[in-house]
Amino acid sequence: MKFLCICQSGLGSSFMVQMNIQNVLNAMNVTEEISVDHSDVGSTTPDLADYFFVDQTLGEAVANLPAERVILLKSLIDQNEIKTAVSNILDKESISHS
Amino acid sequence: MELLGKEQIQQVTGDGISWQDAITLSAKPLLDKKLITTEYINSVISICLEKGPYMNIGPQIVLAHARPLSSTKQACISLLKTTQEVSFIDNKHPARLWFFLATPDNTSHVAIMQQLASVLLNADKVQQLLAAVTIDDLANVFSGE
Repeated sequence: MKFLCICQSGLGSSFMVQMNIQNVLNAMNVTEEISVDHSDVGSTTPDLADYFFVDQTLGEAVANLPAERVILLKSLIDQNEIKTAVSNILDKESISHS
Repeated sequence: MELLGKEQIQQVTGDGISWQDAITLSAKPLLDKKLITTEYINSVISICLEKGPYMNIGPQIVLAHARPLSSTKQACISLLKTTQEVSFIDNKHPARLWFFLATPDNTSHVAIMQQLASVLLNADKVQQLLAAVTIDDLANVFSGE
């Protein structure tokens, strides 16, 4: 399973989301290997990951990605919002977590 | 190394300034030290104008940054706090904490981002930054682990 966090430059905002997700995965005791990385909008294609996390204001910029695998975020630093989004994915993929 | 020392932190009221002013002012400590050039600041503002308010990474927080530029001497960060909200691009994105990040390449800023995340992903610390009155208060949030 691979999560990819994307933003315009692939440096700051997306990296912040990556660290937020990693913290949440650790706290949720997820044992299945899930890789989390970050990249820029321009070089992101649907084959690069299973799920994509992006700020909601960049929604139009990721129209090339399948909507059911894109998570639009209101805040990039809200741990609760990330936790809810990650939980939904883990449940959908039948991956155990606390 | 501490993430943000007092010399990289500024505070103004924010009265009568635009978001472009806030970003330009936030970068001033880095420009004064010649760590970045005005070319980079202009690049950040252009991206905001073109791509919208996505750098408003959480309530009241803007993380201004652009792609790496070779004219940037080293990875660096500064902070401007406006005691009043300044609208970032549109009035749906008010902000008081204006971080400015620069990096010469794709990897040099990793340590800075990790330290920044340890503060910004902690809701208590974000509240401390918003409640801070003085530059010392702001600096203490970054130095007190």
